[in-house]
Amino acid sequence: MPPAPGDGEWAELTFAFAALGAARTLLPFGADLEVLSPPEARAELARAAREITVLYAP
Amino acid sequence: MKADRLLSILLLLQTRGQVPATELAERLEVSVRTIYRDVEALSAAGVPVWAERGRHGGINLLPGYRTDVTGLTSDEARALFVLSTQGSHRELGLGEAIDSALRKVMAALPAPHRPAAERTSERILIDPARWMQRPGDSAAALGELQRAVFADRRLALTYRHGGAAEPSEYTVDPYGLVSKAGVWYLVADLDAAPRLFRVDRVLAAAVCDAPVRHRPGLALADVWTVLRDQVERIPEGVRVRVRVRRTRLDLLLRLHAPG
Repeated sequence: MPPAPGDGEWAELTFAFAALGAARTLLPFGADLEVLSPPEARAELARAAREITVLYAP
Repeated sequence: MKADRLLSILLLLQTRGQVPATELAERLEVSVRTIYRDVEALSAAGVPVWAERGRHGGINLLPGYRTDVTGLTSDEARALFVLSTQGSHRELGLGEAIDSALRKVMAALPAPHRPAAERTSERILIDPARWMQRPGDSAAALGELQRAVFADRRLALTYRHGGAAEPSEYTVDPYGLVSKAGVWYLVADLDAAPRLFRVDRVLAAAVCDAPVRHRPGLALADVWTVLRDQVERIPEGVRVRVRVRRTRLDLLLRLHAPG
């Protein structure tokens, strides 16, 4: 596989998911992975993160 | 069985010339005393074997003596030894058969080629199981399914789908069994359409009287190719662009195939 494009520290890639909700499988990467597009996928991950924040709120 | 053991001893000796009695006893799972008795039996049958006591002792076979086994090239023999490192034979109940078959192959090789063949199984190991896989997951149903696929009969299955509470009943037309990444699958037609059944989810299997009804012109490999492509085809859906720290790239690519 050719090296993924991006600057030194970050690489950019594209994945195909069957449904938007499946993008949540990227959550274990935490802040080491950012969804760039589409906006609906960004919103889905933000929603998931908020749910987790609420769940573990002290 | 004694005849099997005598043949095993003979074949090991043909391969190595001299083997310590303790090693023979260990490999064949009998006592050293039994090995000495076997050597006497072989000798009485006219095979030129003898025991040598002492530090450099062992069981010897007259150099050059061999039973008549057809020849294989050294590459052909090495190919068989790569195969032997797979655990699938054991799951199918053929573990001992593959071991004794390979001893015969080893004995049939011309002497100069033997080290290369023997080294193949010492230097190449294929472990088809996934990480963390519990051994023997599939073993229970595998025996009955094997009988069904060789009998060319229809098969009645009691099958528990992943996530389903109640089992389902099917009558299927089996093509064969496939081991993929350590998981056994039954490949069969259900109402003339190809289906995959995980062997570890088969609760019961019974061979029917009715002969199997295969779609014409199709064999196991053809049906498997169709089913595998169905599983691996990336569904049309959302294409997501991400950026990831390069230190995490390897793990990401292991978990998700880019598309």
